Amino acid sequence: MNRGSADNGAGANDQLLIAEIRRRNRQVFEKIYKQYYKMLYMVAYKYMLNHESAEEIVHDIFIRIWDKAREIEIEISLKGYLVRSVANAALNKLKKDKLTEVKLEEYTRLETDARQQPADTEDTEEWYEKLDTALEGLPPQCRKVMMLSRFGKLKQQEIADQLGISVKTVKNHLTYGFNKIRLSMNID
Amino acid sequence: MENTEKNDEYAFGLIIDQFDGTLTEEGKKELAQWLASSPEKMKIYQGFCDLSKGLEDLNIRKNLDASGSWSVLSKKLDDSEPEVVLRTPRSGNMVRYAAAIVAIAAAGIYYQVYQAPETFSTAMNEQRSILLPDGSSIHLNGNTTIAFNKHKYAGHRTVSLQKGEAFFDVVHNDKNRFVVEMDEVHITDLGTSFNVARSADDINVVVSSGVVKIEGGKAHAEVILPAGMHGLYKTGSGAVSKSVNSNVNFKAWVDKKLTFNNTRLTDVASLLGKVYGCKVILAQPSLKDRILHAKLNYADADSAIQVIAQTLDLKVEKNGAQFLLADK
Repeated sequence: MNRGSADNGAGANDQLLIAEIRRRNRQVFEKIYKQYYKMLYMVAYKYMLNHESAEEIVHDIFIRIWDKAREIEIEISLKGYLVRSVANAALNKLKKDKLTEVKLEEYTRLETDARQQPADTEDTEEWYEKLDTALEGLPPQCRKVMMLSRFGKLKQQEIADQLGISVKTVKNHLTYGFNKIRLSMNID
Repeated sequence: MENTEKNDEYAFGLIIDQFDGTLTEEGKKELAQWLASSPEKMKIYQGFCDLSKGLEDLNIRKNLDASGSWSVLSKKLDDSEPEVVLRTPRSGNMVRYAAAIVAIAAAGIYYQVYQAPETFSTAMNEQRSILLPDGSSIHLNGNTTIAFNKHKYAGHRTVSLQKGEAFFDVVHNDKNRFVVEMDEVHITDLGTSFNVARSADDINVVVSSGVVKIEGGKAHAEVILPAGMHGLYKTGSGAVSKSVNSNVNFKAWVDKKLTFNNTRLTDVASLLGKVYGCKVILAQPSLKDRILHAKLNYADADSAIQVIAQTLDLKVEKNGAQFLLADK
């Protein structure tokens, strides 16, 4: 209700921003890019599952906007437009790369998710910041185990071997870490 | 009770095994039983799944570099920029004159309607963000008024803060400095984000990043404020002074990041009130001197106050925008 987000009157601001892009205002374009980059990258990444393709898709969308700003009609919000463009571009690229039916089904589901995303992307940014803070707040050894497990995708046995501790200790750290973060994220 | 907690802890272990892909058939059954034992468990399970996914994404996000990516894109844009071709117009003079007349008429109307500066105001507990044409942004706290001329802004980046508090996040441009005007006092950005609070008696400036310059007042003084400094202008004497900023929470009203270092609960309550536009009441006088040591970052008052209550073992009662903190 009383939030510092820039969402109030986003429509008018978005129109202003588009007008600036049409006037080839590179500063504004840069600001928009940096503001939405991470979020859009993650949308693309969820489809492509590799860095180069995700980055390329986001770049292509922005190059198109820069070149064709005059033709762009934004119905709801710039953010919504960007997310939809990235999701569609990713989907098209996957289709071109000849996907199997099963995979395509999975991506269609993802597409629905992506379409639902715009409304709370600002919260998403906040959510990840909070997650990072919660992770940083764990005791050092516990954090290390959590990072090896989630970031490094190591199994419990592999973590135990790497740190020279028992599997039971690894599991205790993970249980504690997950639950602690969960509680501080208010997910329950 | 203790048994339930033990059960939960055991179940958390099963969920983690499931993430690893090492959950046994026996484990699958146990997990299913636990999930079926109450609807609450399903929510917890969902929470674990969200976290697992979230942590994986966090790792990817942390390695992303928006500035680096922009540099690459920026180069691509330069490469794809079409060359400008100058053409001699072939259309007849009449057409051009007609077009010119229409343009002049339109400009006249445009001038009358749009040349006046635009004013933006917020009500008592309202906050608002304004994005300027150059990508700079201004966050307005409650009871604040600013004005700027949208149509002169491109060549003349001046915003006047008439009253209240605002946080400025400025896209720096050496050739076209961003200036906040407050009658005889001017603040010029030298690459920056900063907070300005203006009352009838004084103007408080705290620099979050970069450098600003405060000019004016009766002595026409010029004070340079780097990040972390606090500048104070006294309307009565017209003097400008500077000191190290000791208020870590100066922009909490914008980003909702609150840091309490051995802070008395009575001060915590008053700050929460300012940041969230709510009223926090302490039920017992003895609570005033309770000490809080915490870093909080919550979008709304409810979560922040819940966490504080948990930390200090208090109970919360909510009534509209009013919170009552009491001993258990």
